[in-house]
Order: sequence, then structure tokens, then C-alpha cells
Amino acid sequence: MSEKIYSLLLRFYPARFRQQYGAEALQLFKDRLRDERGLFRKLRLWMDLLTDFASGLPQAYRNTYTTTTTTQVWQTVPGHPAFRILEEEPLRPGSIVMGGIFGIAALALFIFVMNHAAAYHPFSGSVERLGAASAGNQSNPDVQAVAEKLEEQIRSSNQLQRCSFEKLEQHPGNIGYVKLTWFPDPATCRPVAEAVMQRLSETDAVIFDLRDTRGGYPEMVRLMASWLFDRPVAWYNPRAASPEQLVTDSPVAGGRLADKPVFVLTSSRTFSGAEHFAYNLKTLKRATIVGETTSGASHAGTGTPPSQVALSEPKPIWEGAGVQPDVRVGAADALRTAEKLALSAIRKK
Amino acid sequence: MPRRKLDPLPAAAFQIMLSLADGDLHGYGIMRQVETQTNGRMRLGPGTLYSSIQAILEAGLIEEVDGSSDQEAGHERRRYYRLTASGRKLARAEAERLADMLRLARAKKIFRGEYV
Repeated sequence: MSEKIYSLLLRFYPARFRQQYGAEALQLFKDRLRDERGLFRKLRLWMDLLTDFASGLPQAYRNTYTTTTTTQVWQTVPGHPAFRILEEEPLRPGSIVMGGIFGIAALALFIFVMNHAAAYHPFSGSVERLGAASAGNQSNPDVQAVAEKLEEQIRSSNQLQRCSFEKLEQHPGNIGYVKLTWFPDPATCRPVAEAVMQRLSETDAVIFDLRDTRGGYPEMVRLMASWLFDRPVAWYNPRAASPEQLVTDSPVAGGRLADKPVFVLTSSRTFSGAEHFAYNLKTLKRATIVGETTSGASHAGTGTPPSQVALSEPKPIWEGAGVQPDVRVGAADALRTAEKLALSAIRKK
Repeated sequence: MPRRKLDPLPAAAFQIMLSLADGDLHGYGIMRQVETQTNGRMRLGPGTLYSSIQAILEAGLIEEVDGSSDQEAGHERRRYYRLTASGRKLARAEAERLADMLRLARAKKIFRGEYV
């Protein structure tokens, strides 16, 4: 066992050393093992071997093992390099210095590249392009502003959901598309609604998808519609709480939607506030209604109860009958039809 | 290279050369001799021993001799080593250097009255 351990230790020595002295070193070890008996002496032997290993190993590597070699396996032809040279020649100081210099140069190059990598970053450009595309045909292609806007949009996607704006998209041909499930409370969602309308102002045509809209706050209906006119317009409002609510707030500062084609998608599940929106825009000839006849409900879900309404008429015009579409198609085909109409309307302009 | 390796002469190399001053010895014999002459203070392990032997062999201070005449019964053939003339010369020079140092140490009175 001890011999095995020692022959394992011997493996750490250079091959030339083992070839020349391996057997004798092992023999010496065996001799000592034989001569030195008792626990103390055994321990001392192993201690000796360990210190010997530490001090003798470097020395063994420093030796060249040339002078005593009696048999030469190789033949060196003068003027031709031989493997023997590679094996026997230790690294010259010059080689080590050159290696060090090249190493430092490589490290410096690496640091330089890492510090200047941002300019060549493969993704930075595409993020800017993405931002520009998402912002649509902005007249001022300020990259920084676009990137900020993109970030803002990502952050506001939660807000959109919270305020019942299910989708806000830009469809091919620069058509703005917004899908609502509810006209939200202006008290909490007015800034979001304004941001949505602002975003839609950058498009050439707008589609309001009200196919799954259950209703909402009449005041929000009016505020959003205000963006679609360039002057105050009389606004039919069966639930107006004050005379101001019978007129749109047009024109809205920053709004650029007044002259753009508007389409409203409806279905038989379009209720209440959404019918209000569709009815008024249709009557004012401001929007093309695409889809199915609306439900004809004046009140669905948890909207404002009619009892709170001061100036209101007892029942909205569309109650019972619903709002008839300008272009009658199935609800499922409404979006595709509206997109086609929007594209031809944009081309005509 | 060998000159640089043995200058200054390592203690192990010097002890090995001293151990060979009386006669030829093989590796294990050198190890035992060194242990004896240093009162057990220096026990050369195989690695140190044969590395040192190789170093001073390369420097021509000792030489290998055929140990067949001295072969002990039951032992394999071992290499014996002999101090060469130049080895003896170097050992003497080293001893004189140490003697000089001893004189210096005495002159500086670092022995504190002990008689050396």
C-alpha cells in the first residue's frame, strides 16, 4: 500500500527523472520502510517524504538530465530541428518576456473593445428602429423621444388594461385600432383615455372596436368623441348632467383626428354607452358603422343609474331598436371590412 | 546552467559530497551517511536525494561507478557514486568558506562564551 502511494507521488516527477532514478527512489523508499519500524519512525518517514516532495520536485524539474544519458534514442541531424530540443530546452527568459508582452497586449485590446462595444452593439440599432416603427409616421424622428415613448407605452400597457382598453394597435396602412370593453370612469381613466386618443392621432384612420363593449360612462363617451371634431358639436346625451355635457369639447389641444376617417365596429352585444357613441357619430355623419345592429339596450351592467341623471330624456333613442350599421356584415367580419374601407378612404384623400 | 544551480552550493549537495569523501556509496547509503554525519538532522528523501545527485552529476562533481564489486547479497544492482577531483576541490572550497564564516562569527562574539 505504502509503495503504491509513493509510486503515485513519483509520477509527479519529470519523465526523465523517473526513467533514470524512479526504480532507485522506490528502492530507497522500500529500504527505509524496512529499516524504520515503529509508529513514530513511520510517521517521521512520511513527514520526510512530504517535505522531500515539496523541496525535491522543483529541483528535479530544474535539472537537464543530459550528461549521464548513455543511450541516445534519437539521432540529431545537424542543421535540422529535432523534438529533443523541444523536450530538453527549458523556456528561455526571452520567450517568457515575449509571452507576457503579448498577454498584456491581448488584455488591453479586450478591455478597449469592451469599453467601446456599445457603438457596435448588434441590438441597439434595432431597438431604435422598433421604437420608430411603433411610433408611426412621426414628423420629428427624434430617436431619444421615440425610445422614451416606447418605454412609456410598455409601462402604460397595464394602465390600458385597467381602464378597459383591451387593444391599442397600429394596423397595416397606418390604421389606428382600439378595442374597448367599457367606457371607463373619467375620474380615474381620463389621462389614459387622452393618451390613447393622442396615440391614435398619429394614424391616418381610426377603428373603434365596440363589438364587445358593455357600456360605460356617458361623460367618457363624450370626451373621447370630442377628439373627432375640430369645433364644438351638439352632442346628443340622454344622460347629460349639465348643459356643458350636451356639446363636445372640440377642438382638443394636440388632437389631429378631426379630418380622418373613423369606423365603429358593432355587434349584437354592443350595449348602452357603446351604442351612445355609435349612434351620435352616425347621426353626425362622422363615422361609418360597420357590423351588426346593436343590442338596443339603454342600460346594461353597472353604469350610471338613470335616477342620477338631471337633464336626461327618459329613454335613449336607440332603446329597443338599436343602432343600425352603415355597412352590414357579421361581427366576425367587421374588422376586415372596416380595414378595407379605411384603406380606400386613406387612398382617396 | 549547472554553475548557477550550484552557486551557492545547496546544503544537501554539500552533504552528499562530504558523505562520498570516505568512499563510494549508493543512494540509500548516501542517505544513511548524511543522516549519521548530521546527527539525524538531515534525512534526504528520495526526490531531494536523486535530484541533488543529478545536479552535481551534471556539474561533474561526482561520477557514477559500477557497483558490481561492492554488491550486497539479495540486492539489485545499484548505482554507486564517487567524488571526482573537481568535486573534492569544490567541497574543500565550500568548507573553507564555511570556516571563514565561522571565524567571522567568532570574531563577532555571537557564541556567548561557549567554546567552539
